[in-house]
Amino acid sequence: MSGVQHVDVPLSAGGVEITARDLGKRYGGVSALCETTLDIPAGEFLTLLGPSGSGKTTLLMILAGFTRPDSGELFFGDQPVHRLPPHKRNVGMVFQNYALFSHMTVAENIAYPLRIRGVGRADCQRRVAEVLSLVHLEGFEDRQIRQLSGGQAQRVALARATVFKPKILLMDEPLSALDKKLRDQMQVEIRRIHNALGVTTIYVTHDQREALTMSDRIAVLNRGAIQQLGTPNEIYTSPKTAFVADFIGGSNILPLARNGDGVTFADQDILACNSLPDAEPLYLVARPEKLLFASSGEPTLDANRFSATVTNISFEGDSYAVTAALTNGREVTVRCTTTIGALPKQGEMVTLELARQDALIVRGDT
Amino acid sequence: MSVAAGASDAIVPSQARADGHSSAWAALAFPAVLIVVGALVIPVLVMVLLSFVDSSGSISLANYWLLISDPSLPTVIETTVSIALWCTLLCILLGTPVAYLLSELPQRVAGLLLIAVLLPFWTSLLVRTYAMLLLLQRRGLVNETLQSVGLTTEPLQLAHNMTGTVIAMTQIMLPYFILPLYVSFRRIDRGMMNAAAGLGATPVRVFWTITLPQARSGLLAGGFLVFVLCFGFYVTPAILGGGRVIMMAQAINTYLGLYPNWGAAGALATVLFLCTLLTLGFMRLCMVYLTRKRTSSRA
Repeated sequence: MSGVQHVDVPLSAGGVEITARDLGKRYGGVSALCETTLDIPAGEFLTLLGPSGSGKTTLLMILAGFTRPDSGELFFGDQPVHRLPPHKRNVGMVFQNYALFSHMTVAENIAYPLRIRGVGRADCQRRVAEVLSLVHLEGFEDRQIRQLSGGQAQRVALARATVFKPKILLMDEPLSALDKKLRDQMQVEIRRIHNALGVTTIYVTHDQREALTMSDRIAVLNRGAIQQLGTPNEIYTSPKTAFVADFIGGSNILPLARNGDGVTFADQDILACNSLPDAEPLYLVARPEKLLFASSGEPTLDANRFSATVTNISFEGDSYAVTAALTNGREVTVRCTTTIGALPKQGEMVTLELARQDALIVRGDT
Repeated sequence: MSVAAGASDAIVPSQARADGHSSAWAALAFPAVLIVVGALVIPVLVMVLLSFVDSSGSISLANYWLLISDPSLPTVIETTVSIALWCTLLCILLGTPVAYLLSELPQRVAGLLLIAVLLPFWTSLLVRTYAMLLLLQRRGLVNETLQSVGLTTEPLQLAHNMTGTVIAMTQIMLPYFILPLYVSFRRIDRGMMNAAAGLGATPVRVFWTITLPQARSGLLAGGFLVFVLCFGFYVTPAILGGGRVIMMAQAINTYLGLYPNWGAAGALATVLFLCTLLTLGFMRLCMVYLTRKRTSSRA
């Protein structure tokens, strides 16, 4: 009846590589996920990052087996799984609302996947205690689900998804229901548990900070396609498209015009750190913290300079966010530390400077 | 009616309104309360009081002695309880898959099919019982069909006995069972079932370990509702029982004709009333047991 083998899953952790070939899914005429190819090495923490409707959850549900792809193949290690129902895939999954079984105690919840696999009562008890200590919930065995706080429920869900030592762990926005402080704490916890188990983890989120903090690699999705795949550092420092640059970290995205071999913004030649991508349209990415107020005099040779009028200044605790309108009316945001010597006033004319090594030219969205 | 009201009260716990409009609501509820008290509570009390009055008009337990000494009464009670148990069992077996299927369907399709489930409510009980008789009798549609396709050679004895009574009563009771269970199934968080499947449970296992336990209150309410309503059946066993199946309501009617005053029938009615109350009390206990905080782990 069950496709799951009744073997005691060994305590030795570890992950398995995931290979996705041309996975696609359409709903009606709309493509929820364009043909996607993705290789995830064993033990990696990969985050699927994107706004709602970007296809990240569709991709996760295809991995879990709850959504059947229209095209493509999926392998866990050497095993083709795209035709297997969820209960035969042997992956751990943490749901957005935890989906804990409210008619069972904490221990019964965690033991559930073990009982299915035919693990004996004594063994179950031992492993439940083990995993509870891993998530720092020692002694919570007999609690009812409704007695748990959000953070505790999150930990129980995590314990339940990992107690049977799956090679793959899928997490669907697991922290979205928690408040900020708890979220920060759980990010560290999840990463610690991932490291302890070595399980291949696919983590879905729309929170770019969460993705940058936790991931080995990030796949940024938009409109059903992976825009860019890379380490958090790569994604942040060298975004490939305007969407990625804007979604990660927030950027000033300025449309450029091609002019022979170079590009211009508001009839001004732009110096950039990278060669021009072979695509249209092109955009200049200027991170708010890389834009500087040029001190009068000594014009820097290797920098772009823009005249602007300060339209708004807001204090954000560790920094000021200064909004300034460029000569062609486009507004940009400049972030400067609170220790800045001369903060410009509202309405003041300023010159903004963007060093060549900080000026990145990207293509538009794919 | 009181039985149905009591059971539905158990499904949807009455919520006290704390927003200061309670007096207005009480005023609006007054006419209904008046009807219930005047047409139900007072007559029941009178019935109970009459059961303690003997033929000479003095207060005694004579009517209850009469019940105990009646040799046919144990059979009547046994018949009543066993028919109620059979109907409840059949409703659970037949109604659970229907309720589950309805809960799995898209809301709009399920709504249409629910109307089909409820359709019998709009037909008179008497008409339905006679219709069942036509279907089940010796030369009825069911027997004719079975014989014409060669499944049976002799007509089955489906009417004028306990079998026919149970079949007909189950058909009548099914909607009462399906509705609360359907509501319970609908309320279950789909994520829980997905989680169970994701953790390795086969669909069958998901149903037994997640779906059914989550719907336990609906299962319990539907089951007890059917059981309790079966106690009071009169028309169906009278017509489909062929005079051989005597349930308590029929016995009460017989007593009315047999004895000059209402005391004996009142005593039997009081016994039936107490059985119903005890069953409902037992249901409450079950509900409390299922929803109370468990302190011992069963993992």
